[in-house]
Amino acid sequence: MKIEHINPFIEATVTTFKSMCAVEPLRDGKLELKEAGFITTYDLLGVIGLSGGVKGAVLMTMSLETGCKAVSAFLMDEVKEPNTDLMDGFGELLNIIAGAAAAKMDGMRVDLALPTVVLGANQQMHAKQGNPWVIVPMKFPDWGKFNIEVSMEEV
Amino acid sequence: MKILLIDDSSTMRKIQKRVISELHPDAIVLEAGNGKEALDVLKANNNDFTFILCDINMPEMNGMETLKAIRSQPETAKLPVIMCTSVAEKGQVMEAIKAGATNYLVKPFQPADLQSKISAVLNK
Repeated sequence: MKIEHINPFIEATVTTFKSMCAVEPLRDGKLELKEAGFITTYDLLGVIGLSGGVKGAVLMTMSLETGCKAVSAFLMDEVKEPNTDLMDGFGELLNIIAGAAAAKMDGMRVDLALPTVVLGANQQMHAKQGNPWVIVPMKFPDWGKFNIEVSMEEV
Repeated sequence: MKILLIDDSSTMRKIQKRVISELHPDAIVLEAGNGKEALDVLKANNNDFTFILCDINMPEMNGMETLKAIRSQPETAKLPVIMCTSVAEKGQVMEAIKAGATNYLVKPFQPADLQSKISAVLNK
């Protein structure tokens, strides 16, 4: 995976949270490369498949508590526990991030699958063709940490 | 004023509804979770809508298919349709405009962006 394909996801994450949740997330350390089969750090997880000029997936993951805060800001209504608003809002935020990132891939069409959101600890992540995942650690100023994770290759 | 929101995200529909109600407190807002549901809602309401706000990436019947279906029927062909979507790739935006989208708003958006697109459609 090319590193220039990661930057659009980082930029899109910042733009999306700034516009939709009035919060500016920050990078939280270096990129990490993880082999397929790694166990996710957090228990709230959304994933969107990518196709077209690429094949792969983008994933956003954070703790349930952080997810509730992010979705509450998105919805402008408090979400305190797992419910439809949390799962739907989390998926929609990731959908917006993926769409904005796709638009930044110069000259390459990237089609998005529908988001899937799951809640539960110790999810094991794989990708097609056994490709590795690039982990982008990020944090909100007051809500906690989260990761954007991308596994992608050009076709 | 009667508005139809088509988006598979109930959260996004809530956000859109709130933004619209700030601008037009008396507006009647109906919702659909995909294109098929939207065509049913249109039919059940005799296609009597001021404008439609339509997502693209949806299950069952996506926004492009929905837009084409709306434009292909004489009774709905002239209904203003604002595409409101995370699909921002230039080729796909042009495809929607060619298919008859009245306006196009890319997510993420600020409430003022949505209000501006709505005003532009209403002032046409």
